Amino acid sequence: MSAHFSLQCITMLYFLGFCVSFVTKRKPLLFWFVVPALLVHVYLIYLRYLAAWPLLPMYMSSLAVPMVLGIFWMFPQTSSVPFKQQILFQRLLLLFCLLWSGLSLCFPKDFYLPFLQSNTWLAHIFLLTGIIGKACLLCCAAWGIISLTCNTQDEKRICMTQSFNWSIWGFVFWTLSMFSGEVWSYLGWGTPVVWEDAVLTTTMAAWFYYGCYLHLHLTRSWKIGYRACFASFGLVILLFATLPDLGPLRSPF
Amino acid sequence: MTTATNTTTLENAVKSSPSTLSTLWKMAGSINLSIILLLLLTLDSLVGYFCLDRNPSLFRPMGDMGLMTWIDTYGRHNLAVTGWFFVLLALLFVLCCNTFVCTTDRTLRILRNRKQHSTARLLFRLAPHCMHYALLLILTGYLCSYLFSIVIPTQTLVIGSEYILPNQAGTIRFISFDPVTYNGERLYWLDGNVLSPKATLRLSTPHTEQEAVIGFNRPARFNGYSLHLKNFEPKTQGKMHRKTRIDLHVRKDPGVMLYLAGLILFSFGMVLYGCEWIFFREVSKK
Repeated sequence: MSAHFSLQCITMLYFLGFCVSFVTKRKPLLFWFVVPALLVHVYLIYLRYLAAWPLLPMYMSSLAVPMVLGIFWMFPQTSSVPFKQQILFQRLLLLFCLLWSGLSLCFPKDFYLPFLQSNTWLAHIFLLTGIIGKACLLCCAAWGIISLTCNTQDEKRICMTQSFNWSIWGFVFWTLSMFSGEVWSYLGWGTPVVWEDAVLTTTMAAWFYYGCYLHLHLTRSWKIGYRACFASFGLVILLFATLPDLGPLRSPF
Repeated sequence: MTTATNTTTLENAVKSSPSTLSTLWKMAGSINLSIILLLLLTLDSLVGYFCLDRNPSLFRPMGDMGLMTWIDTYGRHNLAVTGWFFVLLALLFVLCCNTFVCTTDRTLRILRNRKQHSTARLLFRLAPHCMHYALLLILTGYLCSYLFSIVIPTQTLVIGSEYILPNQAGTIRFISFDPVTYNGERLYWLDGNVLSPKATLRLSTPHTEQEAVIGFNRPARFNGYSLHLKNFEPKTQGKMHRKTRIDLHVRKDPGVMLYLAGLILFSFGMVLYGCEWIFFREVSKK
């Protein structure tokens, strides 16, 4: 099974899962779409790693983010969250999975060969923590969006707590990714920042944005509604952070 | 009459200065200012993405030539593309001031009331401030690195040749080259090519002599200098290959320890904060 065909299958399965989620609210039924998608996804990432290990597979972030989101989708939700919001969250996660796998299908950047400087564990930590961080921050944005649809203050508060929890994990992983990137940059090139890849600016932008979000939440500087808007807008920032991973447009079919 | 008026004004200024200072201090450490700065930094970084993505060759030399020379050579003359970087520097400077004032204020408050908390609780409460100070350390380290680094342009060495560091600080002799070569089918494009270059150097001063192995991501430190492998030959295993040589990148970077210490301190603060968040959140839930 070729990598392109695998990605087509994944995108199709997430699409079907997303459509079926409007018909049924039963999570076990959706497992029939998400679990096979995840299995193919794991296989695809295994292929990409196999073609590069011990070097770093290039531009894999947008491909791996939906897999991590799919894994998060499988986690049971905390009981404090109302059922309606749980369903919305699952639906949004499937939408993000579909969006990101669609992006990596239409804009693959899989033609680059790995470079020798990436033969270090720091490079792999940089990539993996970045992927997990981005997935967590997407969950934070999802809860922000859900919070905007809530009718009562209580529901809003619960959703924003969820959003904050995800943002903390996202921020931690994002920071770890940045730090391992900085140490790798020093060891490999002798400078703290490699001014060759524009990814550093989008990474920095997301870090500042979520640093700001944490401050807003912890100091309660803004009202809960504004904070929900802020969390939702994080989706745009994360889409920006995905830009460096995207190559030229290719037909998905 | 004029003298009397002047004296009164001066007295008023002296009287009001403590409150003016404290107002200024409060303004400088305001959380609203932090939020505005962080938002502006986000916006500026996004603008920077487009500028850097389309003109990487303008920014690439910064690592080698240092900030001031880069500003004189490239920065000042391409403001349409490099402007965002100057805005970034200005915003980061204001953010540093804001963070310092805000954190110092809160840290002092916590320390003043330290008797109310157990040692562990005190440590947890100081965790965010630890992260803030670490951020200052990292940014200061970066600034030192870009302002005061001594960078020696690429030095090419063949086996047996030497390079003498500035001010006779030491001699580097290239002894041998023992690369790890990849042989296999999995990475077909790398078959027979070097996977991990390893060059042995003899580093000597009038009093000491030592050997060091350097490779990609494996610099050696010598007399305050760091030696990085930038390039090498031959890259393939075979009969018809080029003469063995390495390209060395020699740097004396006073900022590196600062920003590495900052990274460690930030990580420590983050772990502490995480522990507090998980532990106390669980307690409050119960």
